[in-house]
Amino acid sequence: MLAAIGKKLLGIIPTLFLVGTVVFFLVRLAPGGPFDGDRSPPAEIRAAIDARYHLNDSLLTQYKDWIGNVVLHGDLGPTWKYPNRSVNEIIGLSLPVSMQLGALAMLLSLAIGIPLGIIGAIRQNTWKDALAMGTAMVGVSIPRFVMAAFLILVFALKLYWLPVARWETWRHMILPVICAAAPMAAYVARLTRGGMLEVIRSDFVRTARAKGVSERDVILKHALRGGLLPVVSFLGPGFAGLLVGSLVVEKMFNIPGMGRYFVEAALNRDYNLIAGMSLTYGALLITFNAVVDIAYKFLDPRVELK
Amino acid sequence: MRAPERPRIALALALVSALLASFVVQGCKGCSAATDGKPYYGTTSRHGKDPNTFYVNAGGEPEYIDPGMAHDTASSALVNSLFEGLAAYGPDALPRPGVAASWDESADHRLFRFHLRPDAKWTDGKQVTAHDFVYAWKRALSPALASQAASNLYSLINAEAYNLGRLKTTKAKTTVRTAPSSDGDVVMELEPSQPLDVLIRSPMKVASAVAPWTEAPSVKVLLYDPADPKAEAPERMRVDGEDRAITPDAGWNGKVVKVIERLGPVTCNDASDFFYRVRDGQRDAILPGCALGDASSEKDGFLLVSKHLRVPTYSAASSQPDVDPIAIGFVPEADVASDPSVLGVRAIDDVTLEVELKSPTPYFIDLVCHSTLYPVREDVIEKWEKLGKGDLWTRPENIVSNGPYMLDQWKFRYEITMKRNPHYYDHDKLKIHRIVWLEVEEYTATMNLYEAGEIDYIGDSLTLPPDSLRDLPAKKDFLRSDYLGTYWYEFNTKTPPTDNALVRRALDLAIDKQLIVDNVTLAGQKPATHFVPDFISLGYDKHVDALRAKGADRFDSPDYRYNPEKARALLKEAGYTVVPEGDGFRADGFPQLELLYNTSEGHKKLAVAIQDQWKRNLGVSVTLRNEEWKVMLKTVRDRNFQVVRFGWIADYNHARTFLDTFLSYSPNNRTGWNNPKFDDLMKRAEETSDVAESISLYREAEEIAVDAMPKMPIYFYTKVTLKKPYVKGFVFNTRNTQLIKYMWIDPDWEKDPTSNDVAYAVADFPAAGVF
Repeated sequence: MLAAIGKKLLGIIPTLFLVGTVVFFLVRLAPGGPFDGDRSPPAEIRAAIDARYHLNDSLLTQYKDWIGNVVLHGDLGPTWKYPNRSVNEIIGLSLPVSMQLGALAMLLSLAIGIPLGIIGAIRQNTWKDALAMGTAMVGVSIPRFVMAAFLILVFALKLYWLPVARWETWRHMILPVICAAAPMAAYVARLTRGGMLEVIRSDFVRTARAKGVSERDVILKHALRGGLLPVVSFLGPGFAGLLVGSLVVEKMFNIPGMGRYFVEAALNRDYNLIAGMSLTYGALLITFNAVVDIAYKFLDPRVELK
Repeated sequence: MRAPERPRIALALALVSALLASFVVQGCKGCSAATDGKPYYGTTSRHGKDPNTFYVNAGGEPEYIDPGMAHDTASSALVNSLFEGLAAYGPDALPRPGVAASWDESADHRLFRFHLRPDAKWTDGKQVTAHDFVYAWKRALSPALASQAASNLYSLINAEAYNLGRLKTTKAKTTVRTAPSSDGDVVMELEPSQPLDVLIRSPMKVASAVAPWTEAPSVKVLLYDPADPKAEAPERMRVDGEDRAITPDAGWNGKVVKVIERLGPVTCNDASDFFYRVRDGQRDAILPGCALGDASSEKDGFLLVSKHLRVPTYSAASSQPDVDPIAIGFVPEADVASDPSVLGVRAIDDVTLEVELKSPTPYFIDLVCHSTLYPVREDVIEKWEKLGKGDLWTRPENIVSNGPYMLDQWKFRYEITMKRNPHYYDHDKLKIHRIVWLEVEEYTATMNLYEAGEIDYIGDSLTLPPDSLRDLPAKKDFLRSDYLGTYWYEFNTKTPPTDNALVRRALDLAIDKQLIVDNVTLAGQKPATHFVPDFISLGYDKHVDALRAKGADRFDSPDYRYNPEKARALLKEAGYTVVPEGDGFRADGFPQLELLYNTSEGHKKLAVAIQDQWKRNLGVSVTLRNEEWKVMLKTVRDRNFQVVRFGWIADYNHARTFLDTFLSYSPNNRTGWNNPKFDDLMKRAEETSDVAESISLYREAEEIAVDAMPKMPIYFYTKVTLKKPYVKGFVFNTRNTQLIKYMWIDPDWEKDPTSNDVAYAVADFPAAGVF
């Protein structure tokens, strides 16, 4: 068991190495460089800038320097857009914020999605099912920026219950967490419903019912454990996606998370920042997937860790 | 039986969500603070907020708060609060005393002597001295720093050549030799500290697929196509206006060669250049400088140099040339260095700074308000520079600054707070004690924060989008100001059909610019018939007024205004007959034009309007192409465009900042247009010390540029913003520079909503002394 987990974690390294290498070269293929702007400096200044930031070295030398620093010192390099910060520092500052937002949104989406899914499954094809699944559909189909604008308008600008933006107290977190959680909750609800429907029809549930177990216990003790499997396998990529994919929520609520760097760093040609963010995302994704695999083992005895 | 119920409910919910979506996207009248009928946008209550704290949007994370490096708009408002130059902008954006209390200048406006106030202090209590300015300016210009703001100091003597690494100084006694090797014949010995102009480095790397000459050619004008020697397309060449067939390069391309000798002058790709004799082993060849590329990675280089003649020792009579045209020979690259003592700035004593300029600059007092010319502290910066972490000196725990405010906290990409500099000479007069800069980039979030009263002012660097401008101008907290900038389209003057000035002028006259500012851009911009905004000061505005009074303002005449008929006539003259077709026209034989802009809703709307007018008035078909900003910059640099969207925001308060971009040798001239007469007028305007004559020469140069129309002016910018009525002392000006030291919060604003006194007035400079 431990060996299997260890093996999984070791497998992260070659994957990250590959991700880092591909991103390093890919971003340099895009036309334009980090120091292009609306004012064109003379050729001599351009050359001096390139020399100062080692952009005139051969690609291979740049790669060796970069990967060497990453592997030996864990140093992802300087950023060019924010000269007095390093990539490590930016990730260190923005990842905790994203973690906080992501974890809260995740919890909220599970708290809403799982009960909705269960209702949908046990009251399949009734109006309750329709209501639950319809709500889920609305959650999926309203774009986040529309939902954010609507929530801000109603709860912040009209009712004055909550702040319009920023990331300070728990009150500031309510609206962005709802926005980030809504599509996720909807997805969780549909997955739960599907998983539950499958399990409810299985033999061991029928056996449990035949033995006279109360319906409550059948659902919560027997069916739910199996019915949640699809949700669990979605949690890994889902959580990683929440961490880095909250661009819209971060922008609308001015939250200093890391989602925006994926777009911005690419637009700014901030090579090290793009590579650093991609590596972070890769590491998160692989780690969460590994965690999910392990959790699977506990939920479903039939699964073998490989 | 129950099954059909589900889709129905789902459908109902889908409809609800669609309604919700459309409601938010379309907005509902009265829901939005823009249309709610109230006099102000959002709340005017400042309940629970400290009356001495100012909340403002910084518009995003500043790139640099280092004065020597800062060159972006998000930085400048912050730098202006943290640092102060010899002069500081007043509320009207004209220079007021800053660290300097007064100054003297020579009659020819080339020598300036600033007298510093002895009570100007850094945040650590030390005195701000003339040496701090000398250090700051030399640092900003140093080639190693590679600051993109360095050109703001180019009016100093020798600054440009020094900054570009073309002006070096001998480190010790140096031997000049006839050849780029240590065994060449000795030409002369140079003393230490001899300034030298670098003509070319040896070795160089051949960057041309065209065969070199074998004997010195008598060619005067040379055009490589493409002009970028690194381009992969096969090269074409025009020699003295004649196409020349490509001859194989005989294995020279990519070779690293020694430069042996400089030969006769030539104009290559519109720039002054020379032919050089180069050597590869035993073979010799002759190539123009433009076909030789950098080979700085090759060690042990030599420099072909000439003696630099002009040194900063002012004499009113001197009209010494900068550069000796005679090359004296080669010196080892290792024996020379960039030495800032060639620059025209020196400290006479702690409180006297003397500045020598390369040409008469009557507006120099305006330039010293610019952040690049602010002082910085040598001990603070060098401490970090020595550790190889030069950028870290601007962190809150390290920075030492001299402005009215100092850095308190910096939450990366979230919030910057400043407090008063306890040693600032006007510390007691500041009514804003704390500034909280929210770093909000997103427009909607900014508007929401403003509406809820979380910020007092939208901030200098954020612009309200056109969509909001239909309703907002009715609000009392909406402000509009002329802004020193011109929005223009640039033509590629090297390829047909836009290589023809008649075509370019036809395209200009076919556009109803008034219609565009009224219906597309909506911020009350002024339609532009020329490049320099009429309201730019330091002489130009008055010159325009005088011309208008006489009825002699050419750009105000009907010849330059929207005139589709004349546009069609011009196009016909250029060889494209415009014939009526259906409801509109068709320009016979006119190729399809491509209009390039960087991806943005505003630029797109304008491009669509112009596309429509060119089609309707001239029958010219235009396709639109948008590219992401950095991709577009590269495309334009490769001159791979026909018409491209650009603009120019004034670097300083003088017409020259706009006209500079038309000079044949300006790095910001992307159109390829060059006109010797224009260059000459600009040079004369720069060199004369007669202010009125200078302005009228600039104006004359502008007329040449307008008639040739390498760029098509569309409008002069305005800035629009929102500022809460309780913020006083805020004067929206043409530089968009509103210093917070003049502002204050008036809790009783309702008693007199329109008053706008500044927190404290700063007297004008005493008249400049003359020596």
